[in-house]
Amino acid sequence: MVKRIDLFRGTLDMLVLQTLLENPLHGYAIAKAIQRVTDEVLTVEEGSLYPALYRMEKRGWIKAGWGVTDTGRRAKIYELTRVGRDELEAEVSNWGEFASAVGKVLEPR
Amino acid sequence: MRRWLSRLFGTDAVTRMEREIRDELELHLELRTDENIASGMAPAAARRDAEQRFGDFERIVERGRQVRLDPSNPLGRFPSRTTPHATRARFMNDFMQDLQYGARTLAKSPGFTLVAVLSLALGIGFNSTVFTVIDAVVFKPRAVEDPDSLVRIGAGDDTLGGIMQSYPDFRDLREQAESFTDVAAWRTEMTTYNHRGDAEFVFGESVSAELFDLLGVQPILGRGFAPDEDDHPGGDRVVMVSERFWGSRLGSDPEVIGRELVFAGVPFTLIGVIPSSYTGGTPPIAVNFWLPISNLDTLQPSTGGTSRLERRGSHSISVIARLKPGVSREAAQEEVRAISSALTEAYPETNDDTVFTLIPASDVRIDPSIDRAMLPAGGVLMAVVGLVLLISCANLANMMLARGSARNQEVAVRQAMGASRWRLVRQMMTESLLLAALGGLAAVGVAAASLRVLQAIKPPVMIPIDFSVPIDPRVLSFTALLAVVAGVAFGLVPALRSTQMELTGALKANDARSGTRGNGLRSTLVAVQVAVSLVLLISAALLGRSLINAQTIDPGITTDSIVSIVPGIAFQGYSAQESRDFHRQAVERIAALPGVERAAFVERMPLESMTIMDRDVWFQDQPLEAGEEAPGIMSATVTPDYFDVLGIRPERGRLIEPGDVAEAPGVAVVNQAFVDRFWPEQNPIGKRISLLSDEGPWIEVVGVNSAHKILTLGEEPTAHMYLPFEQRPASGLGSIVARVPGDAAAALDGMRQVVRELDPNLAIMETKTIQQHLAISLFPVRLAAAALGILGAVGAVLAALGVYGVVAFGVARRTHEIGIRMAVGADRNGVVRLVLRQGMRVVLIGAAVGVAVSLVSTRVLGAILYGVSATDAAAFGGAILAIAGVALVANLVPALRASRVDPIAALRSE
Repeated sequence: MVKRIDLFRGTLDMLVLQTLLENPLHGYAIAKAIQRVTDEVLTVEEGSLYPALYRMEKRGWIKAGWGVTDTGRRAKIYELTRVGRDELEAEVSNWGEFASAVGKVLEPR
Repeated sequence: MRRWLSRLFGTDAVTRMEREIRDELELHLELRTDENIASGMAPAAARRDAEQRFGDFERIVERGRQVRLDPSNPLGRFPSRTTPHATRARFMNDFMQDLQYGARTLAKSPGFTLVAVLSLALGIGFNSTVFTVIDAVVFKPRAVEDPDSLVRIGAGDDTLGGIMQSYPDFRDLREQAESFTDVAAWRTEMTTYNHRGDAEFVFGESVSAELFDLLGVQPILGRGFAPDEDDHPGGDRVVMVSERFWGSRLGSDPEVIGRELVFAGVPFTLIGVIPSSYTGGTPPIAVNFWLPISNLDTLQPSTGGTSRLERRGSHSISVIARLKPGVSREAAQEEVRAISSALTEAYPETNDDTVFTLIPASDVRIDPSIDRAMLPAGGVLMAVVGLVLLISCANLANMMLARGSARNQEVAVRQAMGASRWRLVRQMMTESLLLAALGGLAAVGVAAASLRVLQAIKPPVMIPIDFSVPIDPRVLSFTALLAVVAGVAFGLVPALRSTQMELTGALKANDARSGTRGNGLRSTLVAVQVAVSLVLLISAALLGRSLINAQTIDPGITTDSIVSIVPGIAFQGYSAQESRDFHRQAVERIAALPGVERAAFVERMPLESMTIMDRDVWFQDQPLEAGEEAPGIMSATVTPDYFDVLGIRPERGRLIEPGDVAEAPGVAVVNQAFVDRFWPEQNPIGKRISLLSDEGPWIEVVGVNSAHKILTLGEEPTAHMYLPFEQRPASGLGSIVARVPGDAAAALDGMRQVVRELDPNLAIMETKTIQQHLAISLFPVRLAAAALGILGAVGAVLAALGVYGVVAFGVARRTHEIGIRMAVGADRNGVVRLVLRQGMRVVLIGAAVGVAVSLVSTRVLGAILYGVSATDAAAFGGAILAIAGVALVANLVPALRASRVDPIAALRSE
């Protein structure tokens, strides 16, 4: 049984950007990738994913083009931009600070 | 929105975008379905499962469309880099988000929102009211053309701030001065309007023909004065009336031009109506009619033989002029000064200290000497209401601080996730500004209501003051500005405060100490509120005691069974002889009325604030040194029965008697203060004084009357003298007083009838009982006490709310701690005492500060405190008790609630 943990909006953005770091992907593939990499611990809701993708596209962190999947279907492919790359770096570093802060709180006193 | 866009950009673009979204989501669905089939599900079930995961498909499409379709990006196209346009769009977007979020948060806590909006509405509303009043009287530019080039030209002498001139001087100035496009003049007139057997007291002005043109005032009906209409004395009997007069007394009849209107018994032809945007040369006094200035003698024949139009020494004319374009004020000043020097040479007796001075018209409201007093009075008023607003803001800041700490957790997490502090502060400020905006809107309502209340207060003066101050754009902008300032004031510090939490402290879900962080600031604010309210309440209490005392101060005259009536003789064109005859007859007839024991004439009643009758006095046994001026002493001309009517007795010698007639030796009766001032320790009987010059004619002091108040109830002993009616030149102004043991109303009716019989054209300016008369003299004190009392009470309520809010919040935060204390043995009373002690400590500190400030500030009230010292213990004590009591209650409620905390539940609430 897989636990479903809800992601904060900021975290989702970060995960998507990271996923696109290696290859351009379409929406479904991004979701599957996150699922696979986290060993099924984190699942992305469709209701959160697409609005997040559109938002990031508006901000210029990713750009999209229409292409064809390996099974020949028409799909919208997303790619990381340079701005997006910078953004990812910043988010990752923030996340690190946050994680260590939370860790300190949870430390036994 | 979509429809609008479609129409604008063509259905194609938007539909195409939506098509894209659907395609993308469809693909996702298909892929998921395929995967399900691959892992063994039946196709139908696979599809169903895929759809289920999607949840509400349409909603996702909608959200997608929303995200892409924001107002700055109507076609949903995306720039690949952030442009300034996009940054602005994002800012706008964030702002809208903040607004919605703020609105939702406020809606979630209706109690808080209501209290906040109410405090703001009261604070801002009162300030707007005061500003409106001050603005209307002091600042508002008048509805005239190009007010900046207008200047007033005064004679620069001592009387009335040097702003008035004489008519002959004005005429010469008008002829000779080259620096002005026009010079015009006016004089205020008070007279009666006779209509259908009734006589009504009205205010008007005699104006030179070019005045309206100079000011750019156009009649809304008929025409203005023609240039020749003010050239011949007694010349054309034409009149213009105000729009208000036209409305109320002429029924706004458009055919009214040419009608005959009678003023002071003299018929005038109506030629025009002046719009209500111009109410006369001395706002806020609103005059009813205008006559050509050649009528200076028409309404009241001048006494002493010479026409007022020729009296060079009498400064009763106001002069206004417009600078020619290109002429500087300095150049004009020089020119008029040269003109006045020439006049001084030509007429040394009248013009020896005349120096024409230019003052910008906008600097003169009523006249410079009165104007000078208005600004500080206005300043004090604004300071007081400013204090109430301060309390409101302090309250709100406190409440915002309290809410801020409750959201510590959320704030900390968002900050850790990368939301910039600036962003969070911005969001909280938006919420504060939203509150402030709501408060500001409500404040307009408060201001409108209080202005209406103000207008209903009729100060006991006969002067028609136009106080219809509308809420106009200036006031609205002031209110808006104040709201913004308030919003920033009470929102900024809490926003900054709550976003600077250290991560560790805040992320702990239940830190017993986190409630005390920021307590210092909050407690200080509460203390400030208490202090300010206390200052207001102490002042109100002092004034209240003063009022009560004033009731017990013995004015020195009988305080019941007296009525008085003031016939408007002065404004009816009576000669001195006619005026004397009239009063004599009136007194005789009134004394004969049933119900009237005795009647008399008096020029000025004791404690009458509207008239000051000063007369210069020279002393035979104390000649003046060189350069010394004769002192001006308050005096009143009376008929002999006056003393009986008012219950004044002789203390030495005698009072005025029927034998003191014109042919008898001149006499005067003085009071003890007069004696103490000029003949200390001596017997005044037989001493001689003169009212005309240092060479006589001399009159003899024949008695000292029993002491009574002259000007105000709280005055220092003031010198005063009584003079016989028959021996003085009649001034025409005065009251007829009568002792009426029975029904005052019936007696007044009878008195009115007598006046009407003697002259049906005469208006009666005033009728009152002695009680009403005394009440009038207390009017300023009563007004101040009421105003301060209301403000103080409002301030105290707000302070109590503040105290309650802070203490209640503190208790809520410390539920856990309280539970622990109770679990280890503290009893309920102990808990109550603990909360109370901490709460009241703050209040006591605030009270101490308030007392200290009051000890200094109440000195200001000195002039209107009757028999009460500015540091009266009872007043101070009362106010302190009131505040302490209110604060105690505010503390008690949460304290009691704290004592009822169930320790188990408290400990369990993590």
